Amino acid sequence: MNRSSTLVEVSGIVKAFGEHCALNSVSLSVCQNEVVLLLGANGAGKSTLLRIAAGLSRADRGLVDVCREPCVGFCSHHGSLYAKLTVRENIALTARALGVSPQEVQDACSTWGIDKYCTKEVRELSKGMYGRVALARTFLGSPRVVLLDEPSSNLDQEGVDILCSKVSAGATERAVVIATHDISRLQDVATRVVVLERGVVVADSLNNSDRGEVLAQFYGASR
Amino acid sequence: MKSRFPIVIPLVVCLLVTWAQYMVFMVVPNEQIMGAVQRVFYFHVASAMACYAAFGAVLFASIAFLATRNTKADMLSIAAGEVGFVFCTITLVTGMIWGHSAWNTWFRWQEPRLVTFLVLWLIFLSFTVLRNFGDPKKTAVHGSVLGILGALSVPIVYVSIKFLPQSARLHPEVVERGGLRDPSYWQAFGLSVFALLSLCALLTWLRYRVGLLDAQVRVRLFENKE
Amino acid sequence: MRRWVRVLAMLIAKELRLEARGKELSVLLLCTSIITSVLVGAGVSGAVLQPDVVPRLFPMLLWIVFLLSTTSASVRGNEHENEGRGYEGLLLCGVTGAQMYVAKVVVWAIIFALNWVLLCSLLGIALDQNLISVAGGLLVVGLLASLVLASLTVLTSAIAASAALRGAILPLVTLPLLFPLFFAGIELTTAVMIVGSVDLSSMWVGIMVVSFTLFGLVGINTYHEVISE
Repeated sequence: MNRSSTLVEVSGIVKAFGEHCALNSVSLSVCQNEVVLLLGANGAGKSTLLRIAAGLSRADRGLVDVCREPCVGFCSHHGSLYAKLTVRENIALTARALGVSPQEVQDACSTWGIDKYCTKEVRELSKGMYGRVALARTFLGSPRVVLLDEPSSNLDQEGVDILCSKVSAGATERAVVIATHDISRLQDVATRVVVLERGVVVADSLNNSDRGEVLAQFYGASR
Repeated sequence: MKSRFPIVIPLVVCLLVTWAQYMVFMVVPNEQIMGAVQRVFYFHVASAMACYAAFGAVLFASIAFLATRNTKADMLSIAAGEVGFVFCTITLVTGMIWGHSAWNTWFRWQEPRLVTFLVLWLIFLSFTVLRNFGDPKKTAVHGSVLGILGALSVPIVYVSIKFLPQSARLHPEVVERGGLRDPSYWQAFGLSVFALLSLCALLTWLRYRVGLLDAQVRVRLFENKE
Repeated sequence: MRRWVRVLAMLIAKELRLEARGKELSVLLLCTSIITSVLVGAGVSGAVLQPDVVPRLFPMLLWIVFLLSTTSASVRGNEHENEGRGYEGLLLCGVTGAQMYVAKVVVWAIIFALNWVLLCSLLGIALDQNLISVAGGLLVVGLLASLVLASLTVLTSAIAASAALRGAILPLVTLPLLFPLFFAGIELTTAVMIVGSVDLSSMWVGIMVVSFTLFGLVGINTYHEVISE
């Protein structure tokens, strides 16, 4: 794999919330063409790491260098949507801020199967549809770095299939990091697996070269 | 953490405060018109100066924290805010005692300095409440922004009250008008100011150290629990 | 610069749309204003004051009700941001905290100015004051005051928004900083009721402008820090 163009580079990240140290000197670099599955138990620091990489949270120590052209695609479990705006208004807000064409907005809506719900306020949607709208917003503007925090938690199989095809379709152009517990449905799309435990990277298939071994190790640890 | 704080400093400050008290209550003669109540002046003015100094420290620490995100600057801001609140309360209470004796009223809304200190006291109060009941993840940033807003607002508060049409400036301007003719008055005044400024600095430093130790202890306890 | 203004216009439209749909700030302002005006009217009539005293008390009562209603109502002004953390989506697209702050100040100032008009009418009726001849002057004072109020409450409500005791913290944090506006407002309203117009070279207008500039500068420079983690 060509590791020349690194799009996400975080090193020595430390983040504490009061007395709880969420991340303890975490380093991770992700290149173009890589889809990383970030695994770990609840409270391992996955969401915190993604929020820091996205630039929404500030690390106490460490360096963050993430390609922000044209934007960072980040999907948190909150969805980053305005509950009282409609699906179209929410997506249009992002599109206008990024200068994305209306045609691309239309395409995104039909790709994610949300065009039927365009005039509905997002608070009226089911959790699964809400997740699709959040993901459609995330991929707008073709970001070179995509960070997804448990994207499949509320999605049905069709939604996961759309997600997987969207991730693999542009994989050569971008770096993707997916924090998830849904390994079975997402492992096929991943090229690399990283395991976080209590704020520390404990396994990385890049060093180990055997993805299956890292996954087996994680399953063993979480059992 | 091994203490690097020499015990001699608190002793010297205690000595200074005691000496100032001795000067104020035993050496300085009674003022002709006000009598014994005038002695509150020494603590009143000195506390006001300590309060201003603490507020200056809050402003400095707040800007430093927002610029550098150094938690030590935040600790300093918390310490100076709490100590400043205490000195502001002392200034307000001693001012009211003076006012009741001199003007026969506890509080005069037309008096710029009194109202300014009341507003300052309210700002310190909100600062302390926010620090204790705000969102724990964000209190450092929020406290710093409030510290800056508060410190910059105080001069506008002072100017606005001063220009109120019915504003009667009853507040004595003893020092500005060359009062305190007896040399012992000057000695007691200078000593009180120095003693209370030192006390303010010492308390701020101690509170700052307690804050740092508190954070370390919390981390240790958390690690042991895990 | 053109893109900056375009994004700002988009954010203003978004704020107006959210307020039109949720009506959180405006309904709360409306209810608080009606209730407090009725209470003030009933209280003043119960006090059996001489008729010439009421016009002298009017500006002060108007300002107490205005500041209390706007400050307490603005607690709800940030709810729509926190529901789905919509602001994070905007920050990720390169929208700055300064743009968000300015957009909110513009929209809140419009809502506060409407509340001022409502309050002047309600209190005018409750306290039997004929304000039609001085309406123009009162509107200018209300617009100026709404800008100052919005520039501070947008910032302080974001500070209080995530606190458990936000209902108590917001007025406690905001009102002490509004003393200059309170004094300037009463003086300008009194002058308007006597002369009929606002003297824009007055020192009180200057105090409002300085307060607005100060709060605005702090807001523009720190809003991003206040809302993000």
